[in-house]
Amino acid sequence: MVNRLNRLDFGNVGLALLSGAAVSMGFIQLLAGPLEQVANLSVQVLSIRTTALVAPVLISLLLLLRDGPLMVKLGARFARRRSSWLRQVWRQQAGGLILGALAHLPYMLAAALVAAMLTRPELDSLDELRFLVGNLDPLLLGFSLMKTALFAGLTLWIALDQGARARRRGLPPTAGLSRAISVSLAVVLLLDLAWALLITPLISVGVE
Amino acid sequence: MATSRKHLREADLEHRGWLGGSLLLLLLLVAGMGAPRNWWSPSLELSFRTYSAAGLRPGMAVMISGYPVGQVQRIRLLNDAQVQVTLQVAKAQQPMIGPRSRASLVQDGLISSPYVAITPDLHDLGRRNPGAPNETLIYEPSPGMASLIKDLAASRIPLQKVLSSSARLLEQRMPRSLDKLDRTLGSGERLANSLERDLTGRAGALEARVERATARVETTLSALQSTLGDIQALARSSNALLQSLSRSWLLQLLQPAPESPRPAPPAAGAGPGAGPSPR
Repeated sequence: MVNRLNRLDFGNVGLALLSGAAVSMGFIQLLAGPLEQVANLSVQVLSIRTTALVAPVLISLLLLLRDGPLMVKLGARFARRRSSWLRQVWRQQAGGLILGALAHLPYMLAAALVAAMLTRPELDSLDELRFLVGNLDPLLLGFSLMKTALFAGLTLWIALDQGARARRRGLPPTAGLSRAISVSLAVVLLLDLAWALLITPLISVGVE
Repeated sequence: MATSRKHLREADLEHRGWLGGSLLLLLLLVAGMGAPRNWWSPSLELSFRTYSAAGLRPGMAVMISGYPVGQVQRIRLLNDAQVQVTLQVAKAQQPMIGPRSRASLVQDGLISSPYVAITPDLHDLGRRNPGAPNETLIYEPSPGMASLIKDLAASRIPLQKVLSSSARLLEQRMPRSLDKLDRTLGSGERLANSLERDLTGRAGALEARVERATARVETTLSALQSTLGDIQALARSSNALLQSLSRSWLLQLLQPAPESPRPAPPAAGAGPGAGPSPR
């Protein structure tokens, strides 16, 4: 059961695609509807960038909700006995989880791109897709990948820690899971807020 | 146990497949991002200095003759408070950029995105050494809104002077001119009235004269007609008289005798002048 923690499957990827498309489409509808923004290409570029900005948080939440119980269980097993085998398993899980989290991001962005292209088409589909990808900021993509890896690592560490704590206190694993979810959410959102306040203005200004 | 392993193997395969797909998408994204940024084609760096980076930002398009050839790579504030702007331009366009090229910030219309325009230097295009790029451009700052407002404010004072002098001129000259025009129009009207009256009187006299002349012509014509009748009658009576005279015996006597019949031709051998000559 523990070995299947970091596996990517259709459910994982499907959720990533769905969330990317939903964020992008919802953002465009919001801008084009109540806010009456008619510059379709600008709205699409903005929606893609927004998706890239919120994707790390979304991916962390997806991982936490899907693999949280297994991570808490692994943490509880760590608390019981620290063997070299478990340490090896932990390394595998950490590496696999971060890689899996990173793998979610391109799917999410691809879904956002296609959704933006279909929601408010302005040019020929391929030209529009090329334009939208061309307007994706490399720095923003790089930071999104970094944030995704960081948030996934933090989520894993918090879940393992909460599993171990629950074990030590004699609490059921569900209590550890509940606490892991709330703590992970708080940490990830606080970090995202700090990131938005400190790092994103530097990307927007772009002046060295 | 075998089924479990089989499931694990299938899950592993699926995992790797999705990982591969993700990597492929990431590569496509990077390739797509790199295409407009000239990542996959050779490029050269150009730079210029300006006292204000207002309106300039990294990623802004660089165009030659309205055609995108690169983008603004970075903007750096120097120690002397000038701003160094580095442009990344496709190497294929290098021959068009020379010492006479200028960079300027351009915006087409009010809402379109601004871009950096480079004016091409076509002087000595063929003879220029492509291996020695001119790395520093001269930047011509475009007139900003503030300078436009300043120019407008500066031009307001002369404009106001012109307007006030025009108003003064109008105030002084216009009533006089209007008065003169009014007088001219009045005299013109009077002249037209007198002309009309004069013409009316003269037209009556002319008509009477024409009527008199017509009557005289008619009288003359009738007299001429009777005279012609008399002449015709006189000619007819003269003719009758002449005919009667020609038939009278007195005139027949005075008429010469008719010619005798012609003699027979002379015989052969007779010389000329032998017979009588005809009269």
